[in-house]
Amino acid sequence: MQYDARMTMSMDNYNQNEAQRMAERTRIVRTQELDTGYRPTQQTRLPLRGAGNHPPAQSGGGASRLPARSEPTPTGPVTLDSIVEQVRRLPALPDVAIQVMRMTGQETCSAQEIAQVISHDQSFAARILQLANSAYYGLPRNVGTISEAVVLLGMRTVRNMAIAAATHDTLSREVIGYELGRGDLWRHSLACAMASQMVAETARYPEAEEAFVAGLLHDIGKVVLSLHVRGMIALILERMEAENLSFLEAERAVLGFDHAEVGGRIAAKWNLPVPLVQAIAYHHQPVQNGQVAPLTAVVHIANVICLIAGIGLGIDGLRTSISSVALKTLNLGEPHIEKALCQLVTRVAQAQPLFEMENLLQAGGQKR
Amino acid sequence: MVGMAEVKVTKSPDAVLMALGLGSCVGICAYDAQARVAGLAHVVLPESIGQENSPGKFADTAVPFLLQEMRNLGASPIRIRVALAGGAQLFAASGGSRLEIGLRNAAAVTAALKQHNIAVVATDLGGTVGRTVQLNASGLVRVKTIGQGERELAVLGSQGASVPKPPVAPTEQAEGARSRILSTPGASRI
Repeated sequence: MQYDARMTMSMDNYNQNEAQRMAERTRIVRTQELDTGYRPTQQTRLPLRGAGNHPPAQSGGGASRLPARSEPTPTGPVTLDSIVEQVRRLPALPDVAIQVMRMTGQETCSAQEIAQVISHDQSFAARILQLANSAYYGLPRNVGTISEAVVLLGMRTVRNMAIAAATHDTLSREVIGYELGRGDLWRHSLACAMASQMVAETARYPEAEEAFVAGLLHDIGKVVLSLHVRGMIALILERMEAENLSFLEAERAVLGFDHAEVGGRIAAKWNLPVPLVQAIAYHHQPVQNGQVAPLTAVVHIANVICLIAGIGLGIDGLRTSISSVALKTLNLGEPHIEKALCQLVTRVAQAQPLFEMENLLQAGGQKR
Repeated sequence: MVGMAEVKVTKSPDAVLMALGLGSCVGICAYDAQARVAGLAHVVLPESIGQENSPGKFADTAVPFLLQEMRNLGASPIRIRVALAGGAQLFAASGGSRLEIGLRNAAAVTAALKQHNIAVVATDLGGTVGRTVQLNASGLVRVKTIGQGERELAVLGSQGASVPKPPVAPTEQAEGARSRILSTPGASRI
């Protein structure tokens, strides 16, 4: 496989010093950033089940790949696996959020079930109610239960609200390696979620919900790779200019893997549905074996629209291209992109309170 | 803060107008030094699509709207000087594609300004980089390019308002940034 060869090569290119420096950095990542706030529970330590549905990540890694389940050795080279291991230290998404996300795309799940799952986690449910009762949603009266919120706002709104509330803390942090200031990645992710939903609707892709979640999580890999990329950014940019690469290509050339791939691995680890895992893993390079999976195409196009709009740009800027195969897959043309961009601007303005979710939660708290 | 598709004007001496996160969007910074009126438009697309009640969204409607708003505060179009920033392109958006939205935005804004005889004295356009532009009430335009730091782009009409000022000499750091911008595809054609 071409993919394997490339990865093995770049991993072999690491010299020993580099490997040690990076390992050092990984330790710092663990102790300083990712450890904070982590409360391990049985549920959050998800087994790698589901990752098998993600072939490149599984088969990649080459010579220096560690055995799938071992802890990374502190002095060993930084590999894709050792990076993904850090996900355990990532402030865990509430288990309830992961459950809700898994439920997206399941035709059989009812509003009642969603409400039940959310209500199960008291503090999370309280947060959702706070959001639901904020002025933004303009409910005629305060709601006291999740079921009530579902009745008044609709299952879709409550579900998206739940997922957004659950991912906000993780996604709103400063992602220093990619020069994303505090809140930048959140704005980009939320806009991409909204754009994904829009693109899905325009293309008549039946799972607009799934699209929202995939859009929201598409750059989750950046959170994990941040400190790692920070130390290598000069090399990445140099390589990008010298070889006229996209940012992702340069990232992969220097690191041996990229934020999309890491994101896909995280999603697999959370046991998210396979199309979602793929959409995250391939959102920059959607064509796999000459084809593009529909959800991957949706997120790819939505991401590009958000970059054109300039929402939450980082060091990679607009340094990615749009795939004509992805457009064809969804039967969309270039005018659709313009129209979607136009529409997105309006929707983002309307949803401004969600972009400033922290304020919304605070305001809601005062109100209560 | 001037959000996407917004146009803001001010006469307040300590106001700072800022367009955060320009991708392919173009920030039009306009200033009348005599009336001390500043205006900023955050344009998203080159020309109006369908029925939209948002003049600031499109270059063809944003320019007259911005000028009118500035006139309402006592500015005169003859004295208004403009600096432009943004208009970045997707990587490898190929020639003639409608998706070269940054390029098309820049061209449409420039054409609309020309139509109104407004002088553009400085630009920082193109490339694949994200930018933030700000204009203060004394006509100073600063551009922050992600990954390349911040620099002064122009001082609009600080002296000899009838003669368009050339762009302020870039600092050494900005010089490097500039050559990088120009080395990326698409930028040189602007």
